Amino acid sequence: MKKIAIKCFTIFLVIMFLCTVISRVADSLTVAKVTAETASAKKIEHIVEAEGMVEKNRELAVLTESDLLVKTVYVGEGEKVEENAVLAEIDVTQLEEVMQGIRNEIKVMELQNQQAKKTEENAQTSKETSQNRAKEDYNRTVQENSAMLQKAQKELEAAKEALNAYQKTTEKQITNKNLQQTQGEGEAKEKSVSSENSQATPTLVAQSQVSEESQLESLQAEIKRAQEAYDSAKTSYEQALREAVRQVEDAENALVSQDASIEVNNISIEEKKGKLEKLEKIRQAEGKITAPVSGVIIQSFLSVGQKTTDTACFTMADISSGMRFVAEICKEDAKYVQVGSKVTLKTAGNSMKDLKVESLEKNEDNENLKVTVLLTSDKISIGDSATMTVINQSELYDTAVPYSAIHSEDDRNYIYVAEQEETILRKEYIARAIEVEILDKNEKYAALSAQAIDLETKIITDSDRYIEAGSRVRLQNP
Amino acid sequence: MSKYGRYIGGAMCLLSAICLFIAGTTYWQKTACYENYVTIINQTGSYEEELCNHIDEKQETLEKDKRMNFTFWGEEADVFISDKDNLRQTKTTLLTIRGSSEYLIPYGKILKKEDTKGCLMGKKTAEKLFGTYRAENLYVKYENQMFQVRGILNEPEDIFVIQKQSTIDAMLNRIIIKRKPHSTVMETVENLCVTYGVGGKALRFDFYRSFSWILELIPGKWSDFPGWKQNTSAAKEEWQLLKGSEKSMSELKFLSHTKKAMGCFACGCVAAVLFMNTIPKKIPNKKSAVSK
Repeated sequence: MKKIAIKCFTIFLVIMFLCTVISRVADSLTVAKVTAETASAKKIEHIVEAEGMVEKNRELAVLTESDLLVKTVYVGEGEKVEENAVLAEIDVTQLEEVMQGIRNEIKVMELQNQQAKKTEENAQTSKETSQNRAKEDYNRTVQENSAMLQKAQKELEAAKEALNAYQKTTEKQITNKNLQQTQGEGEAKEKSVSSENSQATPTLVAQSQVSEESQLESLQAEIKRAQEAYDSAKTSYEQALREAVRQVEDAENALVSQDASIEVNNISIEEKKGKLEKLEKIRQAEGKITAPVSGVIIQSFLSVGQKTTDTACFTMADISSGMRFVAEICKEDAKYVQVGSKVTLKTAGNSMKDLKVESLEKNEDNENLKVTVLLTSDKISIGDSATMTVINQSELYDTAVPYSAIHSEDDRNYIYVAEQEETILRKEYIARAIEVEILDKNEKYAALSAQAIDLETKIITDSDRYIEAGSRVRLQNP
Repeated sequence: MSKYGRYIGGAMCLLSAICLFIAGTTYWQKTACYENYVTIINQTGSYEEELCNHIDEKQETLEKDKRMNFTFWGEEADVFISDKDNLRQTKTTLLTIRGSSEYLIPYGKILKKEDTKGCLMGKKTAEKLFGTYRAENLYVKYENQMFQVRGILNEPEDIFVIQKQSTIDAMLNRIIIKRKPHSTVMETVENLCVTYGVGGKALRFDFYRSFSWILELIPGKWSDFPGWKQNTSAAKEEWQLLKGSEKSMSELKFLSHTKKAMGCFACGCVAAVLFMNTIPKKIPNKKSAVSK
């Protein structure tokens, strides 16, 4: 009996042990293993990275005179040059030909000027002569016509006087006749004998009346004629005078055609002399085009065998004015970058810290923001590409958790926390869902509102299988 | 068979049955995460970026209770990724997503939609590339872009998960959507189409998972035989689509786990039956044996 009891008890213990092992195995296989972390106080760092290029801060053009034959070009695009380094060479022989050509042009223009001057002088002389002649004509016209007018006037006056005199005479005669008539009537009675006389008297009276009338008419006609002559003379005088005055005026106002070609030529001469001076300088420099400052050749517009143009031969980046780094960031990152933000630049082999954002400019094409950082370092060159990093730290948040631990559903954010619960067998961890509010976040961490959790709460950040609220979980070390 | 052989055999059958049931439960639990999710496939090709942007805008205008939670995704096999310095390279399966990774891989660390500089990596991929699966916070290079490893996935093991970006050419031809409570698969698909104007066919993985799809065969009236026929042919079409469509790595894992679970349960049942057979029908009575 005792043996059976011991045997049964042993078998029971073995079975219990096996069941325990099996249950533990089953438990380990079925229960999710999770990694948990506690919340910590953190500043949320927003790291903005962007790739960009180093550009010139100041660009300048190297100029020379146009239409010069390029003999040699010594530099290419991207090449660094020192101040006064020879960039290209002009053919001096062709340069001298050009200069001679310009001198000849200047000479031609000067001769043209002389010719024009002479022409102008001649015209002036001619004008003065015309003026004098016109004045002479005027004087002569005035003289002649006023004499004629005076003459006509005199004739008119004479005719009028003649008429007046005749009229006076006639009146006297009439008066005398009347007196005579009165006397004649008395005497006629006495002398009425002679009827012949009385018959002869009306005939004589009639004849004298006719001659008086014709004389009056002739005098009046004479006046009329004299008046007409006077009027005509006056009209002629006025007309002649007017014409003479006009001629004088015309002669005075006659423009001596101002030939502007002299001024134009003078201007051209000045220009050509200026160009000649510049060409002379180039000739004295043996046709060499040099760099005005130390810098990097950005573009070369010269070709050997071609002629220079009136645009730049080279464009250079002026190293002495520094360089700038330009990059673009998206609008989501733009809120973390301000003017004055600290920047770190990294190139292939160098790193520059403590730089600052100089300016921010919106790119209208794609709403990105163009960031400019001024550089003065020797470690980097124009044309190098670099990566800009701007770190923007937020305020200190008391509760920050890994962002990958936050679940989202219907705009609701929640986390799973592992809470210990007493079960029949032992204390177990159960997953609980807690809704949270995100105050700030980056790719790695999220700051939660302080009410959500405390610093001892175990937040499930990773699990090897699907869990949901109420699932049993097992904590494992990360 | 001797008495002891029988006992040993029985014990082993019992043990096997227990182990198989445990294994089956373990595999079944691994498929549980897909119960609440529906996969929709675009048979005509990729979902265009414009459509995705339109959906994002639409999402913001909808009321909270009408919003749906989903992620666009696409998979490409045999892509090469390298470490930061291009010293090591490995081939893996690229999973490009547009949305949160928690709907597609509902365990492990989550790759958020805004996190375009991070990635998730399978354990095996991490070991091939870095020599260790503890590769969090290390950098991976893909198509000249750097991604920081946010988390390591136990399953799928050989995978590389990133967010879709304009600079990365990837096809997003599937959507995984979380079902709202008490809504069926078809209701979810229809809701997606109506709310967002997104088309596609559901891949009925729930056929493997549960028997609730049988209820969908039942028409309005039991006597509606054309309805039965219609529903059955629809189910058949969906089954054929499921069988014929190309499966992603996670989907293949799901099917693998389901089959294993079924297999384990079946084998466990067999083992249990065998165990039952080893139990003697009558416990021999010593007194009666002695009297005989």
